[in-house]
Amino acid sequence: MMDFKPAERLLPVFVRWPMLQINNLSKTYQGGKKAVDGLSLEVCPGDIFGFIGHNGAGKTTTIRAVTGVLAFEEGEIRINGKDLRREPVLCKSMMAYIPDNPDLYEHLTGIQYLNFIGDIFRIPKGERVERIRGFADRFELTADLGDLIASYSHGMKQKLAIIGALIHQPRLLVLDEPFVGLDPKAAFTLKTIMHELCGQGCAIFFSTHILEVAERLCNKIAIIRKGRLAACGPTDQVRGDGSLESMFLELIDHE
Amino acid sequence: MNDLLALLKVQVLAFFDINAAFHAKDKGERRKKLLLSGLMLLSMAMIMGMSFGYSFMLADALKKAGMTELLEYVPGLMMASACLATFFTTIYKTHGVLVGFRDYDQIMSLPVTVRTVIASRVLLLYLMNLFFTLIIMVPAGIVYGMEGSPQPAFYGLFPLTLFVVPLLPIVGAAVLGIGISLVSSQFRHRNAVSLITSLTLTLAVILLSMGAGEMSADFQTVSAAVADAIGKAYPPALWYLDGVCRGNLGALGLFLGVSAAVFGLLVWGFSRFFQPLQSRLTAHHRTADYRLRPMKTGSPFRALYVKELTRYGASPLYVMNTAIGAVLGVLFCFGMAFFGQEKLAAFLELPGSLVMMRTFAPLIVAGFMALTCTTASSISLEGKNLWIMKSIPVEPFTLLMSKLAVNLTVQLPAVLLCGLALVFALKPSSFEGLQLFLMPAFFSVFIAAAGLMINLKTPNFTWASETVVIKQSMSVFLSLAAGMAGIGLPVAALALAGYFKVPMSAAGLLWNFTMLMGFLDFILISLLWEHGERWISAL
Repeated sequence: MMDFKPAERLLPVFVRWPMLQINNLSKTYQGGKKAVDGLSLEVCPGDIFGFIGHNGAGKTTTIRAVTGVLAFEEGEIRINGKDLRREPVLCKSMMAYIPDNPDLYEHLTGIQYLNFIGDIFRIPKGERVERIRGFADRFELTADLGDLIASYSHGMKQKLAIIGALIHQPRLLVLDEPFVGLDPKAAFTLKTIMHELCGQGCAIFFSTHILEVAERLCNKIAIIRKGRLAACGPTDQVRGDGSLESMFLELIDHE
Repeated sequence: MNDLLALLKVQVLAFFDINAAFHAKDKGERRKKLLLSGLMLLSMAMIMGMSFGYSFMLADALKKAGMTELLEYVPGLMMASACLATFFTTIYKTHGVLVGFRDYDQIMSLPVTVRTVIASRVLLLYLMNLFFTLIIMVPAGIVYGMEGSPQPAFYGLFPLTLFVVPLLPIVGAAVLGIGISLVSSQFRHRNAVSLITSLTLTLAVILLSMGAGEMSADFQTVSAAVADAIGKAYPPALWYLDGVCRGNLGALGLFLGVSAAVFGLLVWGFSRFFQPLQSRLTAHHRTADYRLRPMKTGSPFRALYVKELTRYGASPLYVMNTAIGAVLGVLFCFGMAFFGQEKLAAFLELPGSLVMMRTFAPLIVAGFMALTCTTASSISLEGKNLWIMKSIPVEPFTLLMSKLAVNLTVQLPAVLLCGLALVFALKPSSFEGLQLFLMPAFFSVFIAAAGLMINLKTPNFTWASETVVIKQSMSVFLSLAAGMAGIGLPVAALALAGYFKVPMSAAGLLWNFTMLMGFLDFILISLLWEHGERWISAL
């Protein structure tokens, strides 16, 4: 099995400013439930940052706030130093988001969806086909691109969403449970690509329930519990002497 | 039975979005839903009032004319009207309610029989239509009871048979709706085929029903002529009439027997072929032989506009419900150009002289445009794809304008065609001619922008069938009300001016109204520009 190494060592020192800064983020849903409470963290270029927590802990809420999908009341989110609330379009142009459920436009064909993303993110005409070809071949989806998305399986939709997120070369990639629904080969391809992107200076922030993947893939990890950050830092530091699983269970049970 | 009730309960809760009104955690949201439900109830009360008013005026006119023997046709006419309305509204509900519903996998994996699933789906259709039948027919029955002298049996038979009235039109609509879907599914471009079939059918029936309304002079009695007209429009209405109003037990038995048998046959046949039918209807053409080739590129606005237009064309239901106003407008104006306005006005029983028609023609065309708009459900239709709209780096105004542009794409060519046909038919002055194009165009922008704003404020993203947001949502209803208010404003102003004898030129008032509409367009577009980001962010 391929051994993933933290990419930060590959990057020069001068690019180590945060690509994603979350400062004191709080989100209270209508009805009074506080889903995220004073959360702060930073993701730098070259980081593969794993975001862990049990169901309802506030992972998806945080991710949706970071990507501009969900409005929030308190705190600040900065993408490459730009305030998400002040410059939402600029911030969104620098990142890509893959939700936990790949609900795409089912009335479009796969290639129409990718061309739509290409137009929205202004991918130059000359590079568009080659970028699509590169990722679609790796995920073995090229032959299916002419078919309606409505005819795709869950995994194929997930692959298409990933390709759509990658073709515009985001500087910050935000993924919510990206490995759910992917076959083992596609999951391996995605991990390889994540690692390659980090080597190129991209920052990756993703949530997962698969602790082995987080432990193996991430150079930084944050554990969220009841909307608050329970632990955050380099993977080695967070897990200490034990495994990430034992550390996670200890934190979650210790309420 | 418990399974059936459990399935039906879940469907009713989802279809009418009831839980949001009673269990939403946010008080504001709950208040909004309750208020909207109140508005819906109010509109139903208005329809009941209209049915009562129409029945009462008809009965009154018949009594004054000394034709009391015709009073029994009042409930008969309303029954035929309710059945025809049920038939047409149900054709387009079959795909989404009976077949092709989103929670199919979930429902079919439950330990219940296919027949129970079918029965729950058919019952949902039945309940929706029964409700409609009651609000149309109960007032007619009351009027007949008050004004006519019905036999005692009527008071027992009328309430009981109300529950049987929707059965036959539901069966007819279900068979036709599934038939259209089945035929369309044979083609690669199934949506286009389905759309053309549905549109042709609707127009054919509109023209036929107008033809059926014309009574032949050959009949010896008015009664026979009325019976013939009803019979042509909906034959079982005559069995109903004979059975319920005249106490003819044979006719009553025929009506009840045929209704029950045909309905039972639908449930039996449908449950027998349900799964193969569902598979065929939801199967997609897959080729998996795509080869990458150079692609057309464009601006973000173009990309969004093309995406919206593709979404529009992908749903025959969406097109049928939002383009019908434009289609009818074009048919009306071309009818006027080909047959002359006097003949058309006589055919449609419209009053007025050439001068009146020349003055009000822009308002008539604008009225057709106000009947429907694509934007009133365009936000809700994002459904589970909302995350894409909110996460892409596009100015919210661009996004909203791409939705507005679809409505203009549907309506502006119709405005142009209507204008040209009316210029040919009415030979207006250059000033009047200009208004033939300007007012409907301004109105088209107005209804599109208003529909968009209303849907931004009253979205529904949790629909299981798009029928819910396209045909039955509050935003569509409110947009229609906004359109009608826009048309009603100058008409009311003219009526008031006439009543209070205020000297006012109708042409002058309509010009002022056109300018006002242009100004309103500017205001609404400015509001979308100013607050679009906040409104989208709040979704």
